[in-house]
Amino acid sequence: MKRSFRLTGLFHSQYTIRVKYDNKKKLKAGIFYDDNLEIKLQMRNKIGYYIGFGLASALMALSLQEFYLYLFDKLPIPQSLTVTLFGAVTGGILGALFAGMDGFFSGSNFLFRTGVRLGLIIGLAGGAISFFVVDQITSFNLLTEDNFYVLQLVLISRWVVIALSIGLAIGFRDKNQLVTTRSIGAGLIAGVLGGLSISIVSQFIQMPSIARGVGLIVLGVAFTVSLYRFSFLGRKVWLKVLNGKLEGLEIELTKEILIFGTQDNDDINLQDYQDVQQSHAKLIRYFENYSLVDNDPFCQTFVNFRGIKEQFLKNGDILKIGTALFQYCTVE
Amino acid sequence: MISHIRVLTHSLILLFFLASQSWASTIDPILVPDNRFSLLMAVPLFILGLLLLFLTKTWFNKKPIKKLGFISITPHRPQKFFPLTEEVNNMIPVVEELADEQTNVYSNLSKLTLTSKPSGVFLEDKNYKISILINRRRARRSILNDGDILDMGELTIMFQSPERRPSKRDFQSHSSGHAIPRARRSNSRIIKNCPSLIPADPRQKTYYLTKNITLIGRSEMNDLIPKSKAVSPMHSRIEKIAGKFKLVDLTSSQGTFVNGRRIDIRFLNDGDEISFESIKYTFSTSGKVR
Repeated sequence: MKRSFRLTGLFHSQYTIRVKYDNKKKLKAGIFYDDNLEIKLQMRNKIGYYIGFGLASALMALSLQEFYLYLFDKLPIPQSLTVTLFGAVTGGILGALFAGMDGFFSGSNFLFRTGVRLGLIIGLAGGAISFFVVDQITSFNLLTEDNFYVLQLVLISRWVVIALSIGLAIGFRDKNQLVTTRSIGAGLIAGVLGGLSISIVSQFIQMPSIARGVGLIVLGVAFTVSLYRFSFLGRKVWLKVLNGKLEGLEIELTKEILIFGTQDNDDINLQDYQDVQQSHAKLIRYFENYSLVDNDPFCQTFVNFRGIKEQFLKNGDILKIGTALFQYCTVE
Repeated sequence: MISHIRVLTHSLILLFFLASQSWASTIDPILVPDNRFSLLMAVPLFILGLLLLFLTKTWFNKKPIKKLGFISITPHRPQKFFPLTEEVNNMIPVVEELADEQTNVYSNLSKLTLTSKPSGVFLEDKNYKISILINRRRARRSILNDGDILDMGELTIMFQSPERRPSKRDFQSHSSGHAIPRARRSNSRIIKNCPSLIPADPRQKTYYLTKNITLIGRSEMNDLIPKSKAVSPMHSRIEKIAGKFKLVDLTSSQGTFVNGRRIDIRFLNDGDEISFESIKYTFSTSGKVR
């Protein structure tokens, strides 16, 4: 068993087992855990982090693109293959960067690895397919000579496909319907804006590298900023961190069970706080709300500064785990 | 996961093969390499991007600077900060700054006094009735510590100060780490004279009947789980009715026995011997063996 250490914390309380029995499923905690990937750790409520990350990822993707185009200009490779590879490279890099963003910032290796892997694969496939198809379409002279606007629309569409596939990768990473909807919406906006800016800039400036650069930067920044904007839509329950390293962070609760602990793949990682055990406490969902359960009698868990074994939470409650303070918030 | 990667790589190789065979030649102006700039731009851009990436990470990880003051943390209200100076004597300016018109604060704020002492900020409630909760407990006076949470009516605010006053309770394992301005209560009552089930096997623990309904059976959802295959998943139930305890058999296959007789429903007396097949308990109202 790969993550058996994580399961030991589970069986301290009867409650997880009781949930499984009521649903009439098999009592298999391993599958139960692998189904639920890590939750999305939102960044602190500042748009600056998002803009910075979007800019940085766009610059990195742009430099790799330039390098790639320079390389393939020297090598004897058919041009149509070059175009497809170009799309694959761009989509793969952007997908890996954007899907790994949350893991990179929250410092969780597990989330980072799954994000990069999924983003790379899906972005690569989306980029390659869209560029290949658009290349085949534009090869007909009918389209290119007479209809300028149709050509531009077709050229924009491949950026939209890349951005949508990245949004899909983020959704697959979180395995949550709400997150998928948000990220796909963000991808749509970013793709349209990026493609439009490329085709507009290329009309005025005759240097293709600048058009590429402007388009990628617009795409990256629009993607991250709209991800941030959409992260507040449709959210029901979240935890606000009140002190310490993660102060100001709002953690959206989407999973059935969330574990507070110090391990790498714990849902809410409290490494930088004192007096926190390996798997300290857990949140279990009942209908709309959550209840906080102590994982073992040696852990001290407090709700409203009173020691608890298990407590149903309501709006405005203050949780205390080790030295970390949280506030539980629900929609009004 | 590996199989997915394999399928994708195969399909991509097929696609590239198709593409190399195709007749297309692009007239797309964007994909033309720019020989003047390409390598000159690529390396510094990559380094710049990496730098920006780690700059944002360090910016994100930077600890926010703590100032002396109050933060409003009322849910669904915008988060504001009130810097505390020595001119502030009571809570009126604090509440004026942090609360909006919709939040009600039910207290005479002029009698909530703040004084700065060498050991920290001292908050005293001079109202007739205590109207403030410090760390969710009613308290008349206390020295505020970093991270203390005050409730006044619908308003919730948190006290923040750059230096943390170490308290004795921080070193005790039972405390919540916050100075609670009151005699500390023990978290759990000491069970005395509680009705209980004392097992005949001395290695087992005594079970105290603290709940109104106690479920007995082999299934995990029960309160008392005798480890024997003879016990049904839902064997029987003990109810507390008007100070008496009633044992109810839940149509178990092996039956529930009290003093050697199979029963359906029976009120328990002190010293009754309850047995589920091979496992035996003695019911005791005082928690002691007679």
